Amino acid sequence: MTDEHTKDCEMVLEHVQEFLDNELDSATEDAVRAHIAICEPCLDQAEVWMAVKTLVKRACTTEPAPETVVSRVSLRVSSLRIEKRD
Amino acid sequence: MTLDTTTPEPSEFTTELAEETPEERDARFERDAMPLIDSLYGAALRMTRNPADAEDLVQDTFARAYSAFHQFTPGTNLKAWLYRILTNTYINSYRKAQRTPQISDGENIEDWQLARAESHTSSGLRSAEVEALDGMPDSIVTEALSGLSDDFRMAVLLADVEGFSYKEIAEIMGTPIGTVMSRLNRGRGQLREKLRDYATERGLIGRRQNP
Repeated sequence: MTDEHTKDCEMVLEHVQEFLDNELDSATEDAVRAHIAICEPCLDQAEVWMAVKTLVKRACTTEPAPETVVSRVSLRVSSLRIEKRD
Repeated sequence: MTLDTTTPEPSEFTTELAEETPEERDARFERDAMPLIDSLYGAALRMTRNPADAEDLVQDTFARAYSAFHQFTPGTNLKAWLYRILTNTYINSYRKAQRTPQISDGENIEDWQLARAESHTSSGLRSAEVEALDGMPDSIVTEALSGLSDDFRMAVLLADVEGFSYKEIAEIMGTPIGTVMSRLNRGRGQLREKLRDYATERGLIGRRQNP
């Protein structure tokens, strides 16, 4: 493995999360994408981080707030509204 | 012939706002802010980890948001604005009140860089780790998340559950973008580590070989 390649691996590992979060400038994004296409260990890492992201989202699906919570919040806001008018 | 645009000129928009009556503003709060209660309650539940505190937190958040709604600029991100109030309220009241022992962030760069260097060696384990992650029960993931420090957990949830950008998370948490990135990297890193330990204990993935 060349030094050049190892340097690219380091660059990719440093930016892989930003890459998956769509937060890289387009030049760096292109560089990461190009490297991942030819480097299996780096692709592996990208896949693991992607799996972590997906897992967090899956495990934290938001359910509707309970009715009681919604009505108490509405009540609280209404009381502030009345206070403001007085 | 020029094209007619439906978007009002900024000046018109500002005038319109200045002329907004309190009743109109209340209606706008009801229409735009109230529907976000589900996702705010979900976030509050994940922050406080108990329904009673989550309810109080959401109530306080909406009360503050209502009182400060004249400061919100229409057309900007209302969800991010509400999350910022939620996060501040949590940090300023609940976190203090709960007095939960703070888990150390392990905020030293060496650990993180070490983990990164190490993670780049073994290729053969990859599909096993991804497979183990895909099959991970939700309860294990939420448990692992609650083992993270507040700052790390919040950064991860804001990014991966709510889909906020780094810039928005920085505004919500009141930190520079660099801090957001570091919290995300470390938070996800610790999460990955916890889940890998779980999978290893269950024999879902092999133990890592020391070189």
